[in-house]
Amino acid sequence: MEVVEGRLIPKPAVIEDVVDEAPNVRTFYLRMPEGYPEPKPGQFNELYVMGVGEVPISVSDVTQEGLVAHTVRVAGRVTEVLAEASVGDVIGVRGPYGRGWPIEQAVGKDVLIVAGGIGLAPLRPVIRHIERNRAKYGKLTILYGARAPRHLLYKYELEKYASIPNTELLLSVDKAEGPWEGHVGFVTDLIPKADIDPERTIAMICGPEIMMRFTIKRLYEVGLKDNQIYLSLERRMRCGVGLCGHCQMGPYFVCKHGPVFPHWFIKKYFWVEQI
Amino acid sequence: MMRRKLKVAVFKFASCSGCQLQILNMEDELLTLTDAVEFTYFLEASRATAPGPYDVTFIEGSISTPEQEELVRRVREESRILVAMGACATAGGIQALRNWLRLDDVKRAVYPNPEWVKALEHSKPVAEVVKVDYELRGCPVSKERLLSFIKQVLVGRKPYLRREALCMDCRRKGNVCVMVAKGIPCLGPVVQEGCGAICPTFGRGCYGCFGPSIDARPEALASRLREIGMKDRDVARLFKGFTGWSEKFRKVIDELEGGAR
Amino acid sequence: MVSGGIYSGKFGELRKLFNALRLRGYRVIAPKLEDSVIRLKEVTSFDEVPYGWEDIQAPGKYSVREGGKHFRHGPDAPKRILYPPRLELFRLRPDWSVEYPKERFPPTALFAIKPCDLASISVMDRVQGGIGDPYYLALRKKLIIIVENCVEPGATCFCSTMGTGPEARDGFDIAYTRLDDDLVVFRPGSDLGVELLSELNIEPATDEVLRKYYDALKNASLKAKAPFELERLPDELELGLNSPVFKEVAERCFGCAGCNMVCPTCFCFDVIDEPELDGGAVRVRVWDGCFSYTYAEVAGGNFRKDLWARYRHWVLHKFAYWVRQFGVFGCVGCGRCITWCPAGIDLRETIKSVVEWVRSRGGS
Ligand SMILES: Cc1cc2nc3c(=O)[nH]c(=O)nc-3n(C[C@H](O)[C@H](O)[C@H](O)COP(=O)(O)OP(=O)(O)OC[C@H]3O[C@@H](n4cnc5c(N)ncnc54)[C@H](O)[C@@H]3O)c2cc1C
Ligand code: SF4
Ligand code: SF4
Ligand code: SF4
Ligand code: SF4
Ligand code: SF4
Ligand code: FES
Repeated sequence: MEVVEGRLIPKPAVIEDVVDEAPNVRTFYLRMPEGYPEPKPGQFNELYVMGVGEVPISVSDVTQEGLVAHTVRVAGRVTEVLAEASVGDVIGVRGPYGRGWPIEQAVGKDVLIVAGGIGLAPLRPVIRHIERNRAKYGKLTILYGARAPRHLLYKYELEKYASIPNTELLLSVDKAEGPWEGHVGFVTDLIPKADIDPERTIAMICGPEIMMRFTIKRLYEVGLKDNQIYLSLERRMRCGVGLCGHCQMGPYFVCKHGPVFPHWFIKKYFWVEQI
Repeated sequence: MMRRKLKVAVFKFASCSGCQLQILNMEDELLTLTDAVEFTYFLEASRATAPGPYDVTFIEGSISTPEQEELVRRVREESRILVAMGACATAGGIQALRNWLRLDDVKRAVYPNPEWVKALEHSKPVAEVVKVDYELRGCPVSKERLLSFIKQVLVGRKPYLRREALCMDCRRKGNVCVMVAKGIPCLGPVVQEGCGAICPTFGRGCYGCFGPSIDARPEALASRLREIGMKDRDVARLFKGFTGWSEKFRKVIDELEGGAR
Repeated sequence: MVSGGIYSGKFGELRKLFNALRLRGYRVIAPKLEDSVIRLKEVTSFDEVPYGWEDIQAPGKYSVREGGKHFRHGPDAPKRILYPPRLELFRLRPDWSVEYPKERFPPTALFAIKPCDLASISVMDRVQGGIGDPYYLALRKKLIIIVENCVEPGATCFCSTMGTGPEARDGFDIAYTRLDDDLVVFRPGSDLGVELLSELNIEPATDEVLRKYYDALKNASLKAKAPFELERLPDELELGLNSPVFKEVAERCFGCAGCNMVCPTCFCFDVIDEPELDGGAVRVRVWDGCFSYTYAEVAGGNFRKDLWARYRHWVLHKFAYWVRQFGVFGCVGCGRCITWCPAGIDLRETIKSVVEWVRSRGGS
């Protein structure tokens, strides 16, 4: 009998396009292997470089031709090698994994997106989805912050987000570094500036944990309740499918119970130091 | 994946050559590597002219003389990846024992060797002189780790070697804990894995040749050893063994010896 | 003909049972004395099983002596066999085709394992079995379990509190109890158990034997107790997440993860990808543990950088989160993490102190 944890086997995918997004950040468009299911917004894949290792990376887009995009920031051993890959190279993939954003629950509601840095990547599919199904959703608000203007992702299409009907886009950077019309400061500063109707809004947050905590506090101030707030968590992941234990946050396996959680669901643990 | 041949150099400083021997002992494995790797050895580091540049340089031995200090700086400039190999290069080695004594006494009594006349105040780990990219610990280094390291460099990745406590590996291997079953003092809980738990496998306690593990808590181990009846002096001696000059162990040793005085 | 019920026979019947397993082609894994420690290893002769030896366990201490009546378990748990510490999962060839290592799964009998270890297998059935680990399932399918009830629990045992011992309840093929040197009580727990027992020279237990049997087990269960109760424990521990107790205990802990390694239920693993010279790669699974520093480390941070947080996670996972994840406690009360902790830290005391802290603050 063959022994294998089938779910841990990466399958080959071909890189069809590479886009430079920001310093040390690139997006890879992959032709996925036969039988790969269509990912939902907020889900992630495990990307594998032969002999180098594997990393969880969110799906940042699915193109009309069915290519699946991943926006990768160089952070360490694997992402460093991955970032050097070019068109035609083959990498391994498995997925899609995890529970994504509540796009069904948000139908008929306003959607507020708050993203920090690389955190916009898993939220881009939400923006796409709303754009393609515009009538089904209310107002779309996008609050996005990065370290500096050159670190903003998807600069070539950010402005287009603003022209999606009934959409408000506010940008923020920690440091302006040259001409900059947006806000300078924290992305959370944008919350009181935006036009948010607390009665009919679903908030989706992704960024560093500390930024998400501040965001939640600010959202309370404008009147949002826990059950209107969703966030995507990050943890160390070795398997992505609930086997290895590493991604635990309290009793939850972030890989399979998340990475997107409603805040009320994890609140008891999320605020505990070093949980 | 495997592109051009990797240029690898091995330099020997103040050491016993045990680690180099590990490389030479890897004959079979090395044969499989010959297509991918080109080795240059400098058995007597001081004579080498260091005609680099090298992709990977392994340094064996501690830095004990001003000449060696000068040379290792030049080697660093010629090397893309510099690896300190073995307990001597990573923590000063057994010869660092002299660091706790007065140099003159040592020169006269222990090492009647002219080389020591110009010796530095301390037998230093390489990292105290130049930037070290990786450490391959152990006395000697483990063959498996060395081979794995080279293969990882070959695929272009920053090598990943677990640096947790030896206990994990010891227990994975199915050893019986000598501290618990025999009351033998063991440094395993605060020493980096990688040797394959050789000493506990033979019923001895770990002497610490791989040096402190990531986030090691030698102070907690020291109190436990005292709790089970060891004298401060003996605990200090145990920590001094192979990698006592490492920052973490040095601190505990100083505290223990300070207390004894 | 033997059917359900309780039977008794002489000690020699155990030897017959052992031999019957061997004759049927089972690889028998049993307690075995090796270098003054009771291990769990393959044995080929009944005489290797350390009857007549006793182990003495205390926090951070273990020894054996001859002449004792009863042994408990040593450091090895069934996990070591069913969920090996290091397993090559597969090899990827340069063309991405997959090569599986050749493994054999011999029918295996666990002989004379302890009730807590049996319980650990039913925990694994929910964890490894529940997620469909094929290696585990392949061995598990062909596993037969002969469990020895404990008449004399050890000083670190607390199975009684955890409800896993000292008497095995279910999940075994045969449970036996040594009441004295030449009186053994047998209970079948499966059809296969009934079949094996029917080959022995045993008879339904008399009233006198039954009384003795129940007394012995009742006495044993009074001993294997921890200073806390399970009722509401998960909730109480979660109320104690901010308790200073974790920090106090962690001062003595080395963070060596030895407890994770000896624990019969800890399932965490690390994935190691090793490149091959031909351009392919191997993926290996090795036991990992939440005490290790890198366990929760990510690029640019560590979710549990302080040892107290790792210590707390271990306690909470075993006694709170596990219940929420798998419907059972992650601890079977075997006491291994207490005996085999080189720092001699007693998990039972930690839990007791946390619960006291919570109650002192009116938290429960
Ligand atoms: C659900 C999820 C979605 C993510 N989406 C993206 C994304 O869209 N774009 C992006 O750039 N990054 C994303 N990340 C973070 C990314 O996975 C890490 O930056 C990456 O794993 C770092 O690996 P490394 O080998 O380069 O770094 P090293 O520090 O060398 O990491 C070694 C190993 O540790 C683990 N590890 C280290 N850091 C992390 C981390 N932050 N999260 C999880 N595991 C980690 C990995 O298993 C990795 O192989 C995501 C993480 C998670 C959990
Ligand atoms: S023998 Fe030493 S290394 Fe092995 S488990 Fe015990 S303390 Fe750790
Ligand atoms: S914990 Fe219970 S079942 Fe396990 S050895 Fe001790 S008494 Fe026996
Ligand atoms: S509790 Fe004991 S065995 Fe566990 S990590 Fe701490 S010192 Fe090691
Ligand atoms: S936590 Fe300790 S007592 Fe409980 S099952 Fe694990 S090793 Fe045994
Ligand atoms: S206690 Fe720690 S090592 Fe054990 S299963 Fe839980 S997280 Fe994993
Ligand atoms: S990543 Fe392995 S359990 Fe979640």
